[in-house]
Amino acid sequence: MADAAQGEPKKHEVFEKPFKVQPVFEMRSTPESYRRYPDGDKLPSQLKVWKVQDTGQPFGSVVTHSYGYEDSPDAEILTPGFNDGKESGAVGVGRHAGFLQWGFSGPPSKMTPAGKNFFLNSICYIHKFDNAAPLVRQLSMARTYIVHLASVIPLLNDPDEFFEGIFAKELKKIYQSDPKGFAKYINENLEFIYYNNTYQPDMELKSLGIPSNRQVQTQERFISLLEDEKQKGLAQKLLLRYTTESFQTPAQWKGWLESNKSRLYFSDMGGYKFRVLPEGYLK
Amino acid sequence: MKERTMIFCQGLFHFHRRWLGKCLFLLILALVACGIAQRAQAAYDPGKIALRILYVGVPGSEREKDFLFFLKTHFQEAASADIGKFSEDQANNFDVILFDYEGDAFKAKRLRLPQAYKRATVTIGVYGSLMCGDLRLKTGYT
Repeated sequence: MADAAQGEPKKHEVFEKPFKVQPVFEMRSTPESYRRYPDGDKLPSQLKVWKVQDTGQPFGSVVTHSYGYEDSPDAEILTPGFNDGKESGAVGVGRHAGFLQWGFSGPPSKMTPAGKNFFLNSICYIHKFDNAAPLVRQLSMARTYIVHLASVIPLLNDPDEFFEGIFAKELKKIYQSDPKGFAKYINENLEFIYYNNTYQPDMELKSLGIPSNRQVQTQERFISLLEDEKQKGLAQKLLLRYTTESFQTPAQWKGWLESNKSRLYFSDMGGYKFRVLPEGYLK
Repeated sequence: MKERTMIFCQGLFHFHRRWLGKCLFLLILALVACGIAQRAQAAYDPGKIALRILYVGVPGSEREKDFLFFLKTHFQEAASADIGKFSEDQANNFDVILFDYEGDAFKAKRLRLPQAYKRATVTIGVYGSLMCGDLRLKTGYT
């Protein structure tokens, strides 16, 4: 990452208090690297940025991939960083539980007035999360990033090792000679991707006519299928696959869903599972 | 009679001495408390943010001086610690902990925090991002 945050600051207290952050905007050419990532081709030729620091170096700071960053309620992107290695929207400053990662490398003497206020506010803001434990740890990569990795395979000279480490073996057999077809297949099945040591679309789930593995309605459908003689085995298998629970009877699953439905969230990064937000967490 | 009077006087003296000692002790205690309160009041600067910050970085570096100067200017209290020797109990008397490094973060020996660590923390730059990665946080280097 270079010296700048990307885009207008979001409406958030970290840009308001105790000090008002007043960015000085400028326009910069869209980095070519952005084009390689999903939806990169839709970006304009120039992007609005504002300097957080003035180190005079186009490198040294760091961004984190944005994919899946906010798929659990304990993490938030505070600002994307303007960079030339990752996607547009990659995180320059973000929070996970009681940790705030400040991706800019410069010491305070190199920060702009807006950068100094943002840094001071960030310190004050994170104090609110003292003793906050993370709800999830990063156990897997988010599906959008998997789509990006699949799209890179056709560009590699020797994709075998890359393929094997990330995707299911069965997929390699089918698509070994058709990397572009593989990228298309993964992209088309975005809503069914899941992780079980390797990544693959969940064709068992898709066979039930369910549109996505990450909607709460998916859980309701699985539970209703427990009453179906033909499908109950698969429904039980999928409930175990997508939750951290191990109930064995329909009544147990129903009770669990009824008690927790309003607090369910699905996290790709947390292992492609539905999890229950602790009561009162968002207060 | 004379002897009785002497015993009575001695008893009175011991009784008073005990109470006098207690009173003196309480007076000293009150004065010390007053002094501490006054000192704390004198040190409190309403123009500064009421947080105590611990900057954990490379001791003696220009970067540490830069951060400390800035932090002391804006916060009620700011101190520094060596990232190579950091232990969790050093964070006890602070509200927010900053972790930073000067130099090549990829080559540096990294501080490994336990997963149970959950103090309000700012991690800075590449080093901070690598630290978060070790904890499998979303703020980690990917």
